[in-house]
Amino acid sequence: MEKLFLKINGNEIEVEPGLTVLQVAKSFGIDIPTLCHHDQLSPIGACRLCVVETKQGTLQPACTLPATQGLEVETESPRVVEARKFILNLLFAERNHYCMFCEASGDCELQNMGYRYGIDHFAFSPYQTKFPTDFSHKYILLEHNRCILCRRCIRACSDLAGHYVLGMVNRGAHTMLSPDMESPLKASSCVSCGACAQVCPTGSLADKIGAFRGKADEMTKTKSVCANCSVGCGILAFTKANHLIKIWGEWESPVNHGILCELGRFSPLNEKRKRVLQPIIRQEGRREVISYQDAIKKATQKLKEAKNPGGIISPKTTNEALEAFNILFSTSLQSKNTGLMESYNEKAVKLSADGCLEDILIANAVVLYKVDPSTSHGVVASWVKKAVTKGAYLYIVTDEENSLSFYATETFKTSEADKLVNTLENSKKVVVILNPQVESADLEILKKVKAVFLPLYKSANSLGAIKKGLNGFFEKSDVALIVASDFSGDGNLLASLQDVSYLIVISNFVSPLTERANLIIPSATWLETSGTFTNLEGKTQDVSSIMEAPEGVKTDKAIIEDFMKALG
Amino acid sequence: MKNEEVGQLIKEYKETGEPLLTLLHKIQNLIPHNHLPAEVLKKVSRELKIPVSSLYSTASFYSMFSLKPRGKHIIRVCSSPPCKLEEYDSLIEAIGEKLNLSIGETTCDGQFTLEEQSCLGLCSLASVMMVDNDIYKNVTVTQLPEILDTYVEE
Amino acid sequence: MKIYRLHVLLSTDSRSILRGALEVETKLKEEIIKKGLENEVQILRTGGWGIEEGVQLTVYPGGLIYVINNVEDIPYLVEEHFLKGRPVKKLMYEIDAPAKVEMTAPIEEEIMKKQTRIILRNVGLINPEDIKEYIAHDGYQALAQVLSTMTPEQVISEIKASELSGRGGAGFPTGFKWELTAKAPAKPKYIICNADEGEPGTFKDRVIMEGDPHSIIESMAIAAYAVGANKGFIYVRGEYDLSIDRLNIAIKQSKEIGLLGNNILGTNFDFDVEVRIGAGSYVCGEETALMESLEGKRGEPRSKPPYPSTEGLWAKPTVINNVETLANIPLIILKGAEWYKGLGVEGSRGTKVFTLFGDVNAKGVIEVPFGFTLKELIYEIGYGIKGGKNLKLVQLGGSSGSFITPEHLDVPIDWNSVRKIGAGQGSGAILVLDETRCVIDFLKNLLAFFNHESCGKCVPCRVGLPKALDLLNRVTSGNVEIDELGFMEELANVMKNTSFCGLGQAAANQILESLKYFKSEFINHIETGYCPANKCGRL
Ligand SMILES: Cc1cc2nc3c(=O)[nH]c(=O)nc-3n(C[C@H](O)[C@H](O)[C@H](O)COP(=O)(O)O)c2cc1C
Ligand code: SF4
Ligand code: SF4
Ligand code: SF4
Ligand code: FES
Ligand code: FES
Repeated sequence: MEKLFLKINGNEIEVEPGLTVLQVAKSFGIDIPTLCHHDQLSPIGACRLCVVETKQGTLQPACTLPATQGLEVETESPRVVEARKFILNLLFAERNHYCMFCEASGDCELQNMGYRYGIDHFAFSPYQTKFPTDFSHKYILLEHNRCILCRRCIRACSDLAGHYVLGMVNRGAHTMLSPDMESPLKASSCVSCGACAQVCPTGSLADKIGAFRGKADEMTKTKSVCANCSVGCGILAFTKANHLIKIWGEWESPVNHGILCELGRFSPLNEKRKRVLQPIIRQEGRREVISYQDAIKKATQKLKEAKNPGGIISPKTTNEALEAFNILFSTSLQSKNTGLMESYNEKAVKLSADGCLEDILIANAVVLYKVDPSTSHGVVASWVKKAVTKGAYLYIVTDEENSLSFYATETFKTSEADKLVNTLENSKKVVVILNPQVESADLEILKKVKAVFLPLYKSANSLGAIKKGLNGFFEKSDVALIVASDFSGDGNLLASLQDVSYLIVISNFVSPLTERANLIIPSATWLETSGTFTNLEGKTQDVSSIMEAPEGVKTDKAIIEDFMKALG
Repeated sequence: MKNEEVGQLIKEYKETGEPLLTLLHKIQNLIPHNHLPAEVLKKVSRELKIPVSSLYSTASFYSMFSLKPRGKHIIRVCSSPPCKLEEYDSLIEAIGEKLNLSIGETTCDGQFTLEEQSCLGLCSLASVMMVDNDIYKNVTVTQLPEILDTYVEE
Repeated sequence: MKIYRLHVLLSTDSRSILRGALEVETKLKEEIIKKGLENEVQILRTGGWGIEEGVQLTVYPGGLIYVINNVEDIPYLVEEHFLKGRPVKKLMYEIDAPAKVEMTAPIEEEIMKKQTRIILRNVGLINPEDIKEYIAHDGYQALAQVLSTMTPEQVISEIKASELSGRGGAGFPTGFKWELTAKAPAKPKYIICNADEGEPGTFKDRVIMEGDPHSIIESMAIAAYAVGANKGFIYVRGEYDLSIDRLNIAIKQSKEIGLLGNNILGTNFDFDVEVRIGAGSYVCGEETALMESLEGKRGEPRSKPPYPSTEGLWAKPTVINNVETLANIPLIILKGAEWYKGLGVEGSRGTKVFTLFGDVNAKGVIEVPFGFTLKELIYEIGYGIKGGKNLKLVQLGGSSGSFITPEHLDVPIDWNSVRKIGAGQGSGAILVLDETRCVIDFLKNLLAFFNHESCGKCVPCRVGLPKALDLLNRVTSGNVEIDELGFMEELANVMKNTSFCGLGQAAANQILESLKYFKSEFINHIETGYCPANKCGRL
């Protein structure tokens, strides 16, 4: 393709076609200030802060101006600087921007621009009308008084996350940001994905927990992967003094491109469960704290003496821990009696060989087969909504309410699931999102559909575990080891432990399962663990420890290795 | 709420691919208080699968749509510069006195709403005002009571 | 076919209807029957002549114009003129001028003498609700000629050769616009007629739509053929009820006789037009905002480039033209580009429709070739300033137009000459303000209009306008330092240079021009509280 030559601030620059002046400038290290622009969002040219001066003497917004052959621009000419100052003055005077009272102070892009251009007083008398502040939402604060109407939140909510909750109402000076029909956020269709708060340049949409806890600059940022479902979204965690302050979606992640769901963004901040911090043994009805070494000794001794030692592991632990677990049983204990805390239909697993989340976005038809991803796999729901907005048909097979039925072209009862086959006959690209616990009869129907299949496993590393031969509980055991991560143990699991006479549980939290245990060993949570998870597409991704585990608390892998060492 | 009629309009919309603004105009004309109630917009959103925020955003942009109930009769006084050169100020004042009404408000009895209107292209007949679909030209304060009285219900 | 002795053209545009045209019609029919003239006199509905009084009747042969202000005059008129053949002088159209013009020639000629009607050729002459009358006046001849004898390229080169330029405000050469769209590879393509006419003081498009709707449809079909489009939209502002009705009737009639639809005139050219209506938003006249609105969204402008000619409606190549621009097309085709170029002046070919109003004696719609001066338009065609007062200011081109002060009255109105004095002719509205008007009050009204219509997308316009209004209110209340006028100017400059679309830029221009020409009036307001109109009421 033909190269373009342009001049920025007098320097000749050679670039590929198809870029904006802002993109070009950025790639050459020239910093043009922006507010309504965000790298992940399509530019709208609303704030006009990024104006640059052309050779013809016009001021043009760099964020929307295409780089064209022979273009010459100045990015900090006196006229440009004057105009920017004026625009900032207008913004500071549009609503209430007394920064010292603002939760975003320090992290606010408007404030930073104010410093950059030396705005130290109000050139216009600030606007006196007070807008209501919306405190209704559990996690997100909407403070209209700080809003600069840049619409980053709207574009993130709609174009990136597919939720279309936010919009602009009214026009001109009366323009306001509005969830749905000017509803309080809590009562709106907001699904708490938090994308809006992540992109808001001011303190107008902020995450309540993270607000008032200091500047992002002073926090430690760690890239990792969300462990709350099998999608495996990339996250960027902000911590300060080993406290988790906020979680962002990682823009670079090929899985979620920066989008998260409520579980991923907010549930870790809201953790209220009681940690297990020391090994505990129950003897003759009494509970006693014992040392870690003693706990390992006791546990391995019990396992060694067992007639039929068994092990069940959580699909939320890393591949490395799973492998160690497999070796522990196969080699050290010579037992095949292992299982997983979840069980899946193997045939459903096999259907899916090449499914990929991106397929949803380019599908002509999407099927939700006995699944409702909104609450369990939020980002999948996002992708489905985006596909439908782009024109894909959505078919839902369910006997229950489905939170995506608003978007559905047609909903089938499970008894009429076979209608899918005809309905989909003419669709070019079909993606079937299914519950991998479906029955074989369902699979008979699905096999007739030419499609890409995406089984929504429950947990972050379910597929990693299945691939290592772990699926479903063991049959029978007298001494059992359960590596529980944060699982609390449901009725089924507890029932399958009926015959177990000695139960060893490695767990993050106090739970019904630890209540049932004879020996409890504390373990590090995923936030405190490094390793890998395999997501539902089969992508194996790095998990990094975001925080340090409490003293003396080790990761599953380390604990299992200590078991092996003790067993020799 | 005129649920059935609204449903019928939406059905026609789907069949003919009629434009959205026309649909909203038609619905608004149907509703006794000359507005687009929230429930109706929700219904449109559901049936046409347009996110409710987008619909609301669109509806709130245009001055001919109202999201709040309005009076039975809508008085629109042209407030564009050419008309303002003529009788605009005194008309607004006189309407205010007669009906106890200012711009954007509705009388307590729900009879009249007063609104500003941008140029109707009748500037050579300024001042211009409309009551519902009736246009009045060269309006002066003296004619006002007579004009308004024709709309007051006995 | 019946042969009538007299044809009475009755104006039934929206203004005339307001003035009782329908009552006049009923009464006329009654009287004609009473006098047994129903086989001799035919009543035909037409658009308006651009006379701003009463209901107009034009009687042929002779072309005498009557203005009826009172239906009670009709029996006398019917008896005298229709029955006895004696024109009724007291009902004839006269101009309310200080020195009464003595009418020598038939009056039709008097008001038309200086005008050249190309765009308005049929307005007032034909019944806009009857396609047969349009056809009888050479209607759809141009389309037939284009489809049967010209290639799309030939059509475009003819339009280019005519040097027709856009009448929507910016004056972009129409032929080039069509060519860009014709060359754009993407499909389908669209033709849009911009009939959003919201510019305060502008009503030329309404007059055309109400008086000659078929000319728009014919022109759109020609444009569609030239660029390879099969679908057109006429976006009419929601307030223009009568225009909407007449366009819909016209479309229906054209479809019925196969001038729209598939295989038009037996060729393989298909074209269809739909009327789409706005809902009250001035900025929707801006071409990209209009497209957003057509797509059912908020009418906010899009960034340009990409321009509509390559990425317009639904991101497809789109030609968008103003109503008046389109109305020129059929005659250019029929009479040729050379003939068209003979009208007007270098750089501005053809005629222009102006709307003349404010403090002038004769208000209305006029069509003249480019190159007339404002002096001619105001003092000759408009019969001067009301009450013999002095002129203070002309606002040319509507609220987003330019201020022309008396010293520039001799500048001819064409693109180049007007540009030379730093102005623009915009939509062709001519608002005349006499010496008793207050500029600051006027400016406040202008800014209030823009503030009401700003879409709110960009900061300079959304926030700048309320701040400028604040400042102006402080000027009229005397609560401001003189040097804050400099600040106001700076604000206006930033708004002008950085606003997203023409609305914010035009608003800023009003501030700059007020300050440029009438600074002393600002200072007077601030220092002494003196207001020439006694309007800014400060004790
Ligand atoms: C704020 C604004 C309002 C406008 N309003 C109109 C309008 O009402 N009618 C119109 O034809 N053009 C209007 N325009 C100009 C259009 O954007 C566009 O230039 C025009 O439709 C092109 O048609 P033309 O080439 O035939 O002139 C407006 C432009 C701006 C910036
Ligand atoms: S809430 Fe934040 S992101 Fe949204 S428009 Fe306001 S300032 Fe921009
Ligand atoms: S979709 Fe799953 S992985 Fe992604 S943020 Fe939500 S819970 Fe975490
Ligand atoms: S200049 Fe005004 S009308 Fe135009 S985009 Fe900006 S805010 Fe909207
Ligand atoms: S950053 Fe370019 S206009 Fe806002
Ligand atoms: S300004 Fe009132 S009708 Fe044009």
